[in-house]
Amino acid sequence: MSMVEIKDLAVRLEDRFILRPFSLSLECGKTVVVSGPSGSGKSTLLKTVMGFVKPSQGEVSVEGVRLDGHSVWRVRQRMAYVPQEIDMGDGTAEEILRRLFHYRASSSLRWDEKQVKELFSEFMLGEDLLQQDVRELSGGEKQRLAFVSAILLQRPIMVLDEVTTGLDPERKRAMLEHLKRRSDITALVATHDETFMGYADEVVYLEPIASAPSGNEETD
Amino acid sequence: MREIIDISYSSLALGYVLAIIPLALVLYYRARVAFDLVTSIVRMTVQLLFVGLYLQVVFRLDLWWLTALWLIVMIVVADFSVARGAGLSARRFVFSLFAALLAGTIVPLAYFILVILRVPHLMEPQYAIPIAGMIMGNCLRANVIGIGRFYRSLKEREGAFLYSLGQGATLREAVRPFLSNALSDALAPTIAMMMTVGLVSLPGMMTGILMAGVAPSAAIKYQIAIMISIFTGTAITVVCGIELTMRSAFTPYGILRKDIFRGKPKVK
Repeated sequence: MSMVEIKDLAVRLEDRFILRPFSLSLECGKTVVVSGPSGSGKSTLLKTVMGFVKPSQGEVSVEGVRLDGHSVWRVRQRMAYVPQEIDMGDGTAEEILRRLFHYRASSSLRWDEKQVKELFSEFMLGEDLLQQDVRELSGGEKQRLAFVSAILLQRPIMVLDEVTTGLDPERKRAMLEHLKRRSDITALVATHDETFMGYADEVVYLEPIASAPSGNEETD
Repeated sequence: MREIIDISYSSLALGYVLAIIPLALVLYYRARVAFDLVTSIVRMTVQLLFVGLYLQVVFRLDLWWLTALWLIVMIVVADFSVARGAGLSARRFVFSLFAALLAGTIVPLAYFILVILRVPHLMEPQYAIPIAGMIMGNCLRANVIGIGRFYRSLKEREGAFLYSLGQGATLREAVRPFLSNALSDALAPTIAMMMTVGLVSLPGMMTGILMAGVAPSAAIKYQIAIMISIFTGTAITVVCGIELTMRSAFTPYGILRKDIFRGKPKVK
């Protein structure tokens, strides 16, 4: 079954494309890497799948449900998103992780300290980090913490934006091995990390867009 | 206790002489507010003259609908002031802010007049106008801070907001930390005022009652009741204001609309 179906999806800002028409079918349990140079629209593609950017054409379906202003809330509850620039809010790492368990979408989940500690150990995060203010964490620590939070949510689909960029090989491998092992997770990943591509079931390239504007997507 | 002394118009004219001091200081130090200072004094005089005349009529006629009309006019003016002060689109939020200010004013006002003072009519101008004015003035300030900061922080910390949505949060769940911060910021000045009231300054209502020749024991009772009413009105207005404006501030996808912002906020 196709978990994520992207059909002829494009985003235009005024007259210019910031994501060229793009199609993709993501099968259950597979990891698909979307690669391409900076400005080719990788992050825009992921944001459009999450419903953060409104497409100019085409459509996205998740588990057979077409994404629109009504279905997006249900669809997001089936996904966990790790953005490129991570701002998890204010508070300690533990407070941030616990907050996820208060969401209605996570009502069937329970906070499991043992599982959290095991995941921290797996991704080489010190336990003392739980009590640290997330805004004081390094980029790599934030990436791994956000990845842990995505795992804790037990969602079938992960949408990961440059999640391994800047990590050292050992920490990167820990994340990739985890994804490889988890056949219950379907992952859509934007990266130009070649190690990640080696672990992916499929790699799709986005062509560069000449003089593409960045960070100013149409969001309305 | 003596009756309050009325200020004659000739004596009031002498009062303006005092304004020469700040004007001279502003001119000497070339502060850029000289024009605004003069304009504000003129505007204050004209506005208060009109208000004085209108209130004379309202008090004399003592008609409930005339008092209610006065309160509605005050709320409409406050409505636009909140939108402008917070740097938000008045067009988009005018009805939501009106409803929030109305709720935040009427609830504590009705409690104060009908339950605490036990005056039989809510629209008794002697009580309704000054009490509503004090509640609304504070609600206005709190709303400018609360609603303004709520939307500005959502814009500045869009990443944190989208992160929550990306973890499957509902809109209400995603804005909760922002709402909690905005409410704290909005209530902080009133809390600080309650902490120091009577020690650092004598508040307006108490001063007015003392000058009217009423015993200090009665003045403090009024002051306590008004402070609690202000606090209640502030909390109601800020929460209702945010909850109601939220309905038109986001796209169906839960993304903050960019066109809700207008100009620069007056309170950072």
